[in-house]
Amino acid sequence: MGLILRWIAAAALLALGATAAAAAEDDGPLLQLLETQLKRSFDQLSAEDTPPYFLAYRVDEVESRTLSASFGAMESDGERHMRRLYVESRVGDYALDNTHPLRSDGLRWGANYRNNWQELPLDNSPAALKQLLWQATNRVYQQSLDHLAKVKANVAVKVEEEDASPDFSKEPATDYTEPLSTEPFPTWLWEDRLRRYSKRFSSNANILVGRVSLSFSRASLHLVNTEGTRVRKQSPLLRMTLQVMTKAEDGMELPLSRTLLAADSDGLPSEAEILAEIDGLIAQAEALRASPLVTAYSGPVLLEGRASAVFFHELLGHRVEGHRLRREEGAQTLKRKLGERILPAGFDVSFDPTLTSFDGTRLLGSYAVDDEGVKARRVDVVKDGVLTEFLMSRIPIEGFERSNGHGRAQALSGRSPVARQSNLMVSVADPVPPDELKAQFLEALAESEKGFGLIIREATGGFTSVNRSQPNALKVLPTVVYKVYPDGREELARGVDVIGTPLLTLSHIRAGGTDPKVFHGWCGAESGYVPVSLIAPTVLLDRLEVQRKPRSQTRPPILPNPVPEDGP
Amino acid sequence: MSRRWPTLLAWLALLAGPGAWAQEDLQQALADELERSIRQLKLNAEQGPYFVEYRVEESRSLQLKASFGGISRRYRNRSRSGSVQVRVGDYKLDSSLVPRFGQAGTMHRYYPPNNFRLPLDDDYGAVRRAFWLATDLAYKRALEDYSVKLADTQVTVDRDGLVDFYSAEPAQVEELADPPPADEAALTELVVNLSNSLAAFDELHESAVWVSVVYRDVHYVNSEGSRFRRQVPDITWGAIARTQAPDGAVLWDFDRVRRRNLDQLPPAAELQERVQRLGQRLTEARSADRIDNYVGPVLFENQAAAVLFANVFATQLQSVPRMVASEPSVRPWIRDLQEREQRFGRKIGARVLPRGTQLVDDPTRDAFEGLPLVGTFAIDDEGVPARPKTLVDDGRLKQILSTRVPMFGTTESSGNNRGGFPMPGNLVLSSNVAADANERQLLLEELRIDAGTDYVLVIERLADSQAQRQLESMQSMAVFNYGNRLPEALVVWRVYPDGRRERVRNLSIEPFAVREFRRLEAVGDDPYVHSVTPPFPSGGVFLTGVRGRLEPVSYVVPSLLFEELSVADSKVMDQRPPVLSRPE
Repeated sequence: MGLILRWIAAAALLALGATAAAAAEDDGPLLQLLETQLKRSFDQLSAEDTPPYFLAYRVDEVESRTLSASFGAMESDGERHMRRLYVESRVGDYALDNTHPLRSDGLRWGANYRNNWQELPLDNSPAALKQLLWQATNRVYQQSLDHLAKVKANVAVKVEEEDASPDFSKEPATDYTEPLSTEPFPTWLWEDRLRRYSKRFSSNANILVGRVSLSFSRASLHLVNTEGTRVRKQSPLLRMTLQVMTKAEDGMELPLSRTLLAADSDGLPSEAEILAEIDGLIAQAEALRASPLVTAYSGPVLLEGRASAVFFHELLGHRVEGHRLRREEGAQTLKRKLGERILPAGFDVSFDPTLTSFDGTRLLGSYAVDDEGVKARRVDVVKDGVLTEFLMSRIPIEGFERSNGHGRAQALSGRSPVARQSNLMVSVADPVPPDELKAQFLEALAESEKGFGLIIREATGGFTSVNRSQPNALKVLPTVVYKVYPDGREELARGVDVIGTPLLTLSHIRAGGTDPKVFHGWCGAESGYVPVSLIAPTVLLDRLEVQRKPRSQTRPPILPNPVPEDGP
Repeated sequence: MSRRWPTLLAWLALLAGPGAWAQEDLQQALADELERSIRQLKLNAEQGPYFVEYRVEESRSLQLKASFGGISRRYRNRSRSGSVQVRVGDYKLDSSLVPRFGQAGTMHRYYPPNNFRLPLDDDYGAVRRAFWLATDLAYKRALEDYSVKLADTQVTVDRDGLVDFYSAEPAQVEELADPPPADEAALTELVVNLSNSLAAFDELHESAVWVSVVYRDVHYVNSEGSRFRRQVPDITWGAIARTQAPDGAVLWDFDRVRRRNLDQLPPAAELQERVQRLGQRLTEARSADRIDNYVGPVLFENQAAAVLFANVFATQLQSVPRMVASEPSVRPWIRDLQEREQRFGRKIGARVLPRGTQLVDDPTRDAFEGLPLVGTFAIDDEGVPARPKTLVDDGRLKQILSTRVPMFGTTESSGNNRGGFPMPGNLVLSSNVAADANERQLLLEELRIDAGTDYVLVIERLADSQAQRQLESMQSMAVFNYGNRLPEALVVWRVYPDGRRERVRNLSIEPFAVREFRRLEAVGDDPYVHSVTPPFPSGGVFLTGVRGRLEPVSYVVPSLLFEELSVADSKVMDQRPPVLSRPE
């Protein structure tokens, strides 16, 4: 399993908007209709020889509008509005049902929703909805019967499983509804602004890609199940991405980006602030072009704020996602480490979807109820350096029978929710001020007798592998790296990625700083891409390995840029 | 549908009139960067390009889909992409036709030579910048490929005598359209109303009606002096429905109209009738019989004849170019594939259809017996003027479709580069010994007696890949015929000697060789116009560097009678009947 974090790096401090900006109650009938039809279906199916013990209807709806401009000209303008139904039918019982993984058959967790979507009308026409719910329920129920027969045969012929936990957790009913916004996206305000912002990239002839994208989206979830849960929620998001790419003389491409987030247009930074961000990116790209390459290295590293956040997400976050600790093919790195020290004393790591902002910055991994209808709660996975808990969906694992509200899935993806990260928070009981942390870093550097160390200031994402069949390793993709010499002198450098294996790398963390930073990203795994926010301070590692980045073999352009620089 | 975006008016303007097409800055940017590239682009002591071609393709689309009286999909998009072709060497031996199997560099994702994103605004500087980067990359790639070609000449004996690029007279054409506005409100009302009509058929489990309006505007310029601009509206209306027979077998059917203008769409009343017929066809299919297996005479009529011809015969009308392997290890594989993909490339002069049969490709006509055709164009994608051409005369293959890329069996471009492939425009099959309805009936009976069967099969409708994609877009569990199977037969009749016709269902035609067309027992006098996105050419892997868009084609095909084909029950479609009672 390769797990990916992408669309990275947020810089602006943004005001937190209410989850729903404007209430327009026109979707109430959908929830009611889903409930009525669910009851009808469940009642009728209960008379079958193999009745379902659990039935759920989930409706995902996504409205989005995306605009982008490049070097002063509009580049794309697209709009999407879709609604899909997913029927979940479980036959058997909580202990063993049709969703049980078939070993050696390529099926994975969450086969229940997979490939079971049904397109729905965007309005709430009862006749249309009833018809489509009816035929989708028929289809999925029959599939669940087929799956159960296969599951029973598979369990009978395979060896005993290491983790004999039930297939589905029992959870209390949740009744949660949010108002839904149907306000139009104010895209008409933005075309000229995007042209102006992106024109700024024309100020430097070495910038080969200069793009400003703006995406409005609203993802809504309606969920009802036969345990009595009814959920209606919506996640509005406005995302502006600034992208720049230049090319060094040796061919290496140097992409940089910033993502600015808000609940509505008013929440974005001012024009002057955005232009300043763009100028900063251009300057950083220009500086990187002239910077020297770093080669393979192993030694002391200072991982600053956002790069540190990505590091913890890949290194630790993906290894505390509960369902993965049950999979036979999973590496299960931390499964038997409960109660053991995995980080230095004083380090705490939690995941808190109920936290909506941090230091004035809106967080992306926030929700009141997860995608399985379970109430969200904070989960402290590491306390004082000791592993204490895992992130759980409704797929139980040994010792963790219940969900803790981290069942998440990408809207419209057709994937079943599994345990996923929300808002990751790394904190240190005795944080070290920046000057002192750098002094400790220089001390470590001196002890290592390396000629230089590395400070990694920014990263653009990363990925990790958590299967047994592949190296259980991670990679973080830095964009801003400094070589630091024993006298403290810093020199901008480029061309390396952080690599490591989890247990060894965790054991080299020495101290954490006083400067937590927020990193926003889209995290990809079994249930699709979900938004997450990661908060971590600078951390000192006495040893970390980096390897060379792949390098484009194409020379820089032969002819000069045909467009003269047109800058501020 | 309860609301409309405030930007609707802006969209209507975008999808509307000729005012939206004015793009002088764009053309100037293309001309200036092309001029600079052909004159100045040169890496150290290497050769500069001898041919450079730029293309800009803008697309504005609106898609609406309704199901059971509600809008289920509303999609608008506007995009503009650019493509660059750079050739190093000369017409005889150049840098083309070296297939690439993956790229190590990553700038391809930003400005690859094909289909890179361009500004929607006619911003001179932004357009030039994009073409500058793409040309630079295409030129460097061409230099590498040219070195491969030169090396190949040292180790390979040239046995076919093909050059690398056919010359063509420079041409300048403006093919401008004047599309009427796309009235989103009216189109919404149309699909909603029609979907309500389908919903009234109680036995249909799922149904949808959609309309797609796509306006494409293509600018082209090359260093030989060719230049064109082509505006192509592409309108599709469609309806699809699905149900289950009492035994659980999945049944589905569709209807579709493809036009080059919104005002060519049939009036609402006619579409209403078509939807009614679709509902009736599918409802009747539920009570039809099944047959396990049939070997005997088969008559393809109307849409089924056209789909069969498009899928089995017309896909043979291209050949493949002579590729050069960049790696010695793939050389045998490429040669083997080239031999297999020759299709009609080595059959010029041979009989491929019965005597008396003609096959003409005519992109210059826009209607057939009053019915609009969609494969109409004045100039092809390489700037070669379109012309009518006889491909098959009296059953013998005269020529195949070609582009400026030399392929086995061709000597020049036939002006058929469409989306990068040699593809037909309007393909018309006829026979000067056509059989009328009575003659077909008599022939069928003779063949039945000869085959010793109790009845013959008449196939009226076949599925096609576009319809299957629509079915797939409705739900994830659609069941298809993949692999080598021919399109599923949707409407099939069992016809007895006394003329009695009984509907049979869930049948698939077993694959058969294209040479069976040579032995056709009869070609009818009842041409049917079938306008569709054609099947993907199977040798597409060879057409390296092409953009790969399939343009609509009109196939005009009469009934086709085969002496013997195998038709079998498509058991793959079986599912259990619904367990739940239908909601009120």
